[in-house]
Amino acid sequence: MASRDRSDIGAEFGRILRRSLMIALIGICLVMFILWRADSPRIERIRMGLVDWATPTVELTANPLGTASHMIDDFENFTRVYQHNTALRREIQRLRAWREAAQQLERENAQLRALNNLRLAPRIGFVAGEVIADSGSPFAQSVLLNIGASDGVGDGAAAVDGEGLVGRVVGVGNRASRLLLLTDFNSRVPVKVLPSGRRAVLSGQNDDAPRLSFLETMNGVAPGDRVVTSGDGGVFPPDLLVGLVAVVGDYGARVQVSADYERLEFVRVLRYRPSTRIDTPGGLVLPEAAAAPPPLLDLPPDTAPTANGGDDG
Amino acid sequence: MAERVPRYHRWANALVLLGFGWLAILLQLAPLSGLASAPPSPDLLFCVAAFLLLRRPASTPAFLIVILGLLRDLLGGGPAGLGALVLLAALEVLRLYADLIRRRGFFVELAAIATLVLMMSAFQVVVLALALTPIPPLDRIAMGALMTILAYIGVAILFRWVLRIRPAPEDNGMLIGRARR
Repeated sequence: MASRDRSDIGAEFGRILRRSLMIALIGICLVMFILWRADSPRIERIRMGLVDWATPTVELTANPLGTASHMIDDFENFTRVYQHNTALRREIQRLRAWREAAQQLERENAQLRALNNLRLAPRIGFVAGEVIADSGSPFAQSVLLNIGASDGVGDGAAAVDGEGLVGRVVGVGNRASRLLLLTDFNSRVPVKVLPSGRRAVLSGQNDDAPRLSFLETMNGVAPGDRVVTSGDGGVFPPDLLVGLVAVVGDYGARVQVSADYERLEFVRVLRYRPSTRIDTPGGLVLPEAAAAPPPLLDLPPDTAPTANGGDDG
Repeated sequence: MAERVPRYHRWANALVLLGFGWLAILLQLAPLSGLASAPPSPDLLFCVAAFLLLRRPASTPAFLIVILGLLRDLLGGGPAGLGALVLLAALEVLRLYADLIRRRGFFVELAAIATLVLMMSAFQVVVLALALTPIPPLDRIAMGALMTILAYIGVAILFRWVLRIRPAPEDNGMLIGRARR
């Protein structure tokens, strides 16, 4: 009888414990949603901590599935190989003409650079990584990369593939990072449209063609115009190819992104430092760190320099 | 009189939920296409958890479902916490009608799952709208729901006929293997 009472008490205690745990977990979910909505950096830190932990298993699953998916794509392409061949021959003819033009421009560019050797070029390095996961939901357009802070990836860095800009790093873990694609709702990139030079902001719409926002006027913007990063804000390097203007209408222009989102396997995350900015006379001749005043040494009080000069007595 | 299911059997079955749930999350995250217009991945975690809940309600504790939902939300990059809450609500509704659905056969089960998937999508859209968050195009959300319903059929075939997970009488705690009827 006593043992039965004890087991009843145990079962009741277990029920209470489970219910409390449930309430706590629901509370955690609600708090997380509120923090996510408020764009709290804590959520991104938790996310990236988890991604760091899960990266090895995610990679393990991603590789065979990605290979299978590409094999299906390749088989579909194989069935259209004759048309592709004809199209490629035509493209080669066209590109030969372009190669001549490019070589002439390169020579001219080299001569002009030699004449105008004044500007310090921005330093751009990169680190290449592999896409190991995507968001898997219609509510976000992002991918996970298998490179992180230990590889030199910085928060906010631009990422490109062989064709053009892919997106921006929004979360950095130690061994992985999350890349927000240009098509996501939260993506905003300052761009300019060439050849008119009009500046705008490329806003993702969760569809394949992001919109050009804050474009003053549509005059001079036409389908086929190139869209490149403007470099405004100093986050992205200028002149990275983003895409081509696809549609111009009464409600703005849409851009066909150059990056190959359909087969996104490897990307290069740029390590960009903007051009040297000369704010102080010291900055003209010395790098910023060297131009800063040296730290005071542990000198005896009678020899330490003072604000109004050290040797007036 | 039916014997109680031994506790270690229940925990072993819960581990099966954890294992298949984790595998479902990984498959859902596999990078197939980065195009925004590509069909979204089905909600495999819901499919796995719903199938196991209908067969072994005692071995699919709600707190494990919330933990798996949170893991999926955080790894995926979408609205954190919302997916887990919606998953929990849907599975608790399913738990209420589990006996009834199980007795009526697979087509009723599929209809119940389809209704729940549509309700989950609608609920997420309403919550995001109330939170003044941009909502993805509705056709993509509908496509995601359709993919989930189709994926449930696949999961059911795999679990029922390949892994032989079937409804068991209360005195049988075995999950994988033929259930004694």
